[in-house]
Amino acid sequence: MKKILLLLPLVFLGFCTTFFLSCKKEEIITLDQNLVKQYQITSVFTGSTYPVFVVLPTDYNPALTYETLYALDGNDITPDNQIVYDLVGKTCQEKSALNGKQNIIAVCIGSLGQDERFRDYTPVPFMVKSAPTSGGSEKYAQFFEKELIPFIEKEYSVDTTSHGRIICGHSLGGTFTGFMFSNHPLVFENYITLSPAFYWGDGVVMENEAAARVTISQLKRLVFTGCGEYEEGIKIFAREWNYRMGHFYPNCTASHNEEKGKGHVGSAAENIRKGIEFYFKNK
Amino acid sequence: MKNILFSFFFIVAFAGQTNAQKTLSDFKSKQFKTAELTLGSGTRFLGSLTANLNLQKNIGRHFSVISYSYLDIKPYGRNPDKTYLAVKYLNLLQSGGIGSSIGKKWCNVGLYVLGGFRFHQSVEAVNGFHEASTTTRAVLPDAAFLLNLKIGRRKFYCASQFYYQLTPLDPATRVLNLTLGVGRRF
Repeated sequence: MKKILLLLPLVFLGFCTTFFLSCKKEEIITLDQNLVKQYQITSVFTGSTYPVFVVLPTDYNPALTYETLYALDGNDITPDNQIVYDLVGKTCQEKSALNGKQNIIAVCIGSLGQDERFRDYTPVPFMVKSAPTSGGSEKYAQFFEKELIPFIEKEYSVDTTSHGRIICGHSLGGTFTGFMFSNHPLVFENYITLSPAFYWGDGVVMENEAAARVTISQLKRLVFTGCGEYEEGIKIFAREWNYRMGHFYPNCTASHNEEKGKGHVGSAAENIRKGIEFYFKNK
Repeated sequence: MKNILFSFFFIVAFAGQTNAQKTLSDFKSKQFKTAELTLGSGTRFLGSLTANLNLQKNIGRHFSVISYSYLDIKPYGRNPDKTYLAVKYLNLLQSGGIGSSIGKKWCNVGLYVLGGFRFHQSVEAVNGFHEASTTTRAVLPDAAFLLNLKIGRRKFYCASQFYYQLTPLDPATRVLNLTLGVGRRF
């Protein structure tokens, strides 16, 4: 017993260390919850019902026309304990004011679980042992194009052209933004592609882009690519994507950020902020 | 790789059993000094090889200081289901710490708090990209818990270590190493 007691100070010290290391370094962003409208939208294409969080500008006026940012994983929690829709909504407020631009409507689509993420965000089946549901991006794209976007454009006063739409996704969500870029190029004009898992399907998204390049290279684009400094298996794709945007798309304004000292998850929040700032600066 | 590791663990386990037949000195005596070499597979990348060197000296009946080094390496190669991307990965850690343990005769379990530095390098490559490969290098601070198990009655004994990193860059990339090997007391 005495010996066990001797171990307790060490265990206590360890837990204290863990606690202090995991403490939040940034203030939690709080958004006026009256600006957040929640919906449940059922898709006939995927067969799932998605939670959708719409964050309106503080001075939303139906007489005006707003651009819309579609963010994936809208109900996810960042490492510094922010809900993604909260982070996106607040960042849009801040960056629009900072750049003297009209704020936009943030439409944050919640993910349902890991199986649904694999199913919806990935273009082809891959690593089927760990992701047996993967390969359903086309159906998810149909959900976007024929269900979600029409719903939002009916409910709110928004720009109904691709010029007024932005898509933002991280990790597998980033893969989906790349899929939309090449396979559904007329839906979005603006892309925030963060830590994209473009290794998926032996680089099928990169190959799709190369194949579609001839037909879509003249389209106007804003593309922000972000990742963390310490992301193995991701960084090379993010750099290559940015390179292709800058070299093969003459009407594309591209930017790339590698978040210093951060990895895959840790870089997400700051890259979302920088991606939204990039949009407001260049739109 | 798996066969080599399995053979190593089998030999170590067998050595531990034969060692257990004879009497040995106290794990908890103040004079106890040891070196342990253990091998395992890192959790960050499947297929990586982790080698640990652990030097320990008791500073009293209940406490000991420890020097812990590990090399975690993934040779250049492509996973069978990821032929598109190749990743080479190296982690070299040197840290020291203090801890306490329970058990003095044939079994000893110790818990240690470690602090040190980790050299990290990774190289990734994809055929046909404008940048043939991307290299990341960094020296990072590292803190961890170490659980150390010793079993045996002779000069050589079985050793197993579980390393739990407290300062991961991301929760998803936390270093968790479970290794098994042999220790020698001096």
